[in-house]
Amino acid sequence: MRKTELWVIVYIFLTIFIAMSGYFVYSVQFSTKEVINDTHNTRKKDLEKQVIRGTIYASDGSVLAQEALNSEGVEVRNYPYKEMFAHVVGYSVMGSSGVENAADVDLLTSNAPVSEKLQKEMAGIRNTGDSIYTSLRPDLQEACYRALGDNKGAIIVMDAKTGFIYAMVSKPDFDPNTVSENWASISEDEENSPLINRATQGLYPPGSTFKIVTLHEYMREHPIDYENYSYDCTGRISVEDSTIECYHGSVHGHEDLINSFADSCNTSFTNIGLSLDIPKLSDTAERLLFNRVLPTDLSYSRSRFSLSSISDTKTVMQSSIGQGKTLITPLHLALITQAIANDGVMMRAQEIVKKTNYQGVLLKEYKPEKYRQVMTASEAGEMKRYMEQVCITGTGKKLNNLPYKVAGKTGSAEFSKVKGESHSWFTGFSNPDDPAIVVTVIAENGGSGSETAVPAAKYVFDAYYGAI
Amino acid sequence: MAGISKYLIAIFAIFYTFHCFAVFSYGNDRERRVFYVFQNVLMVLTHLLGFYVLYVKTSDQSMLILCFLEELLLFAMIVLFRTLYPTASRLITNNICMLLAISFVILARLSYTRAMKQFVIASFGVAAALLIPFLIKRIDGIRYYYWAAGIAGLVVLLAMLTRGTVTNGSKISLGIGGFSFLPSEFVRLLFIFFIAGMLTDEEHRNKNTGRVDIQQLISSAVIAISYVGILALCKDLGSALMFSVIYMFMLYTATKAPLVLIGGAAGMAGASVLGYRLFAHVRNRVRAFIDPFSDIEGAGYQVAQSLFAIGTGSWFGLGLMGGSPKSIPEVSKDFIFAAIAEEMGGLVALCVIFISLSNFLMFMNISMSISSIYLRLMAVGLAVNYGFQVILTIGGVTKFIPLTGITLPLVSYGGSSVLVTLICFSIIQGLYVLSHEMGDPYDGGDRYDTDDRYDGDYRYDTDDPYETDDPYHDDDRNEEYY
Repeated sequence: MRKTELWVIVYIFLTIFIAMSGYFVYSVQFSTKEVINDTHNTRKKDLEKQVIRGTIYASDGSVLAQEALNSEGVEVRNYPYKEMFAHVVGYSVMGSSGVENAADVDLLTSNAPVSEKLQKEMAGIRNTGDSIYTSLRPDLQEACYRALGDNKGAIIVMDAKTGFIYAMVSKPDFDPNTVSENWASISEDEENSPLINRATQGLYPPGSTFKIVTLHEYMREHPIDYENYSYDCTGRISVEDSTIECYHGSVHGHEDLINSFADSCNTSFTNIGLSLDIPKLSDTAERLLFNRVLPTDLSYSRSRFSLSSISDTKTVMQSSIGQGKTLITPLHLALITQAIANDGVMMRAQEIVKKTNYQGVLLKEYKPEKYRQVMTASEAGEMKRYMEQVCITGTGKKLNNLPYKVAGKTGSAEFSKVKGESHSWFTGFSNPDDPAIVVTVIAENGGSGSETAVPAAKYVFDAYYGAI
Repeated sequence: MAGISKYLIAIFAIFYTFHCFAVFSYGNDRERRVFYVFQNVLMVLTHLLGFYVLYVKTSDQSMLILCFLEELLLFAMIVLFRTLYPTASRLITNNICMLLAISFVILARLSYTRAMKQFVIASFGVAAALLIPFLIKRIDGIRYYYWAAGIAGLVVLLAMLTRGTVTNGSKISLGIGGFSFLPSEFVRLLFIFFIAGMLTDEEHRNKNTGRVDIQQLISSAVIAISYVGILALCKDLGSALMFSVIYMFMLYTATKAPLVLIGGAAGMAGASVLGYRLFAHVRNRVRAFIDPFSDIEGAGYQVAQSLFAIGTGSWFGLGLMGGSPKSIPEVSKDFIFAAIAEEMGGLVALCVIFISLSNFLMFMNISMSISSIYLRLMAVGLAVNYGFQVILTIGGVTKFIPLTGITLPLVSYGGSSVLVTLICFSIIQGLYVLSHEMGDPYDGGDRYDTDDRYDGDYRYDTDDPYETDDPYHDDDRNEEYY
């Protein structure tokens, strides 16, 4: 008599056991990193008992974060640049942030040579964790730090073609060397919120920088004749009891499309916005990643855009010049700018270049990563031309006649009911013919874009091109 | 030394586990015996090294005493079992001892008092295990009193429903004279005994086909459903699932009708949906299964902690006393697997899975070698009981399936669990011994199937058990009903 039924039972259980072991092997090998990196995992301190946290380097090889002994001989995390890299490099006590967070597991994993590892483990000495090399440049970071001065706000410098981040400053800041000592005061400071990385997490009204999106949509809706657009600016436009005025009551007179953009003419752009197909504008905004996930490992906030066919006229008017309910992070604006500079191809925003063991043996290299073509190359080319005009005759003309060329857009984002109080924006890139770096600046309550943000950007470009 | 001990323990465990499967490629009994002794050495080394690390890290001398006592127990188990029952499976005995050794180490790390308690109960369990195969021969007539077992089980479950104490929303323990125990583990044994008797009773069987009659089938189904129903009312859905699965596979073995498996699977799927609708804690567990991190402070806490433990431990673990397994609630019971993975490493944890699989395969192999269909059905019931319990607990801890809150046999802390599991193992051993003495020619040494020789070409390979083609020939003789 055959025992088929017993074999059936054997195979059913065998299958489940194999599937379960396979799942276990998979989760230990592959899903480990993100699970361990969860901020709720208190076991990182167990790893720290066995591995000396690795070092974080800048692109020029200088140390951004390392383990060191303090004056009392206690091992502490040392950040030689103090406040300057506070947000982007982050901290690793009281939770973690920045690169310290993104590369937490790597820093706590030792890929030292096996023989050395075993020797040290035998002797009960901790092994040294792997090193992380970033694309951050201390010279540019310092320039950004100075350029922002005492303003609250943020500056991002990014490679226009690769998406690698060269500098990222956020103010107010804190000293990562003393985070745990000063934790109560910095974490509860709600007025300044120094722990927030404004470059990636700060949500601001985009103001006139949003005209990049409005202009792009207008060009798409009028692919052949957008150059024929013209408008007579009288300083104000009123529709159904809503009024939009040009900044500080300027009157631009007769404007074609490129000068409307260069002069950042609010009335003209309100006029354009009212003519647009709103659902299409909404699609375009989402294609440029409003309300969407950004291609980056940095922790960021999601930008918001909420215009639909049922929105009232007032909201449409405000939204077309970047006011209303629209909010954007500086990182997002930098990515849109980068895509325009890079023939419409948005890159992943990355700050980690490679991982090595503590002796410098390469373990993993992070290549530039294409995210997506967010607009066609010819559309990007036209946007680029319009943005160049901004820095020749328009609101960004302080960037004209320099040893380098810049294309960009300014913005003055009103954030309160008080007239004239606005955040100062600039986003742009240098050398439009062969784009080099993207610089995005926000200075909170810094007035118009040309007042604060443009000079700050100029300071950073000068530093990049060796003018200072 | 303490630093690299985790690597050595992993190597010992891997060698041990490898031989659980590789031993069958040695046709010669003398060769096999060498490997069984080798396994014993690896087991002792694992245990000694584990305790050495614990002693170095805690400097607690009582660790040494506990270690010595446990070594004595393992030694006694191996030597006495071998002497009293030379025909019993040595692989099963070895596996019991290896799982106990790993359990002893990790429990001593988690809580010395619990480890001591577990040692005392395991000693009783081992004593019972030594006695049971001897008893089984002599109380054969007991099989006709299956109704008594069935009713006794029901009574215990009803007592649990009315007077049980509530733990985590389920009534699962019963207090008697100051001791609390988990009756469902014992009741499972009674249930297997009952169903095996019920489905093989000669008075209710067709003399020609050997099939059991419809009246008996219906009665068995009614009783099985009552068991599962009471457990569902106690909100102990893990146990309810265990009983359903045991019944399904035993019924399938008795009737040989594939419909039983299909219908059973469909029925259980339906019951799961119903359970999900009815019970909030089932919904919580499913939610914690889908994304434990979304409600990490609440329902997902336990599973998330377990995944942190497994992930942080990685392949070689953080080393004994190197991690924080105590942050997992119920770590010494339902989540012992996560503690092993965290500190002893993923490789040792994987070995635990494969040693358990080896046990299940041995149980099934024994059931195939038994010619009495009653005893065979008992063996299948015990095999499924063991195998499915392992799947539920390890699957739950690793997020392979939703958590059911069940212990890992022989490894988890818990008197009822270790005692019942040891009894199950010794019953199986008893059945094995008995089947030899029923007149099967026996030539000593272990085989998956005593009736047949191995084909030299077949190798039982640990690397890929899928590839194992049927290494055993089917038994061509007719079944005997004794």
